[in-house]
Amino acid sequence: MQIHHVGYLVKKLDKAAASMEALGFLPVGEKCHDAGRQADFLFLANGGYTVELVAPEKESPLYPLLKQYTNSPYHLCYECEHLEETIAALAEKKYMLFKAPEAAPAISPTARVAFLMSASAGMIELVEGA
Amino acid sequence: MTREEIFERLNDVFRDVFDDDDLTVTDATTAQDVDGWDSLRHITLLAAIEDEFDVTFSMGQTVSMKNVGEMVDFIEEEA
Repeated sequence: MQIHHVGYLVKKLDKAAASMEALGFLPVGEKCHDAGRQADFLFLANGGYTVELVAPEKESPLYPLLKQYTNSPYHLCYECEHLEETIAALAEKKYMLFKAPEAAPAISPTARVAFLMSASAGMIELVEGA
Repeated sequence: MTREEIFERLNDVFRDVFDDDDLTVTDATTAQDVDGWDSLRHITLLAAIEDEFDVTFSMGQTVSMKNVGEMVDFIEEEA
């Protein structure tokens, strides 16, 4: 599966973006607020690598993760053609779905994402329609 | 599989996930009783239980189980 991006959980999105730009990353599009996930998102690219900065509000379900992942990578996102089929296939490989498919307007108007956890490989995101 | 056998294997899972060789859980154990049992570790724990017992939690079960006893009840029914 192709990696779409690396997700970074950050406290302050603008400061984190400036730090990434110092490494040669450039913003892809504008900063975006996702009301569903109660977080700000910004994608940056450097060559073939894309990072997603995620800055959750205090009310966001992502906010508690800041305790463990402050300003650091917390998931890899993989592209797929059919979200439900891929979730089912990965379930056979012991990846547990814990965030059901939902729209991801920060990625594209048609994108849908889901999150899965492997006890031995950690958290991954799947994106369809990126 | 007896309830005792489930607990024996489940304690190994807890010890591995929470990196605590002395950890022992009971029916009444909740997240408040275990150091480091936050939302992320909870998901990791459930994924490890799925792996160990070859069971599948529903989306609802990942958030609804209130204590270890409810996890064991589910494993007892499904495994």
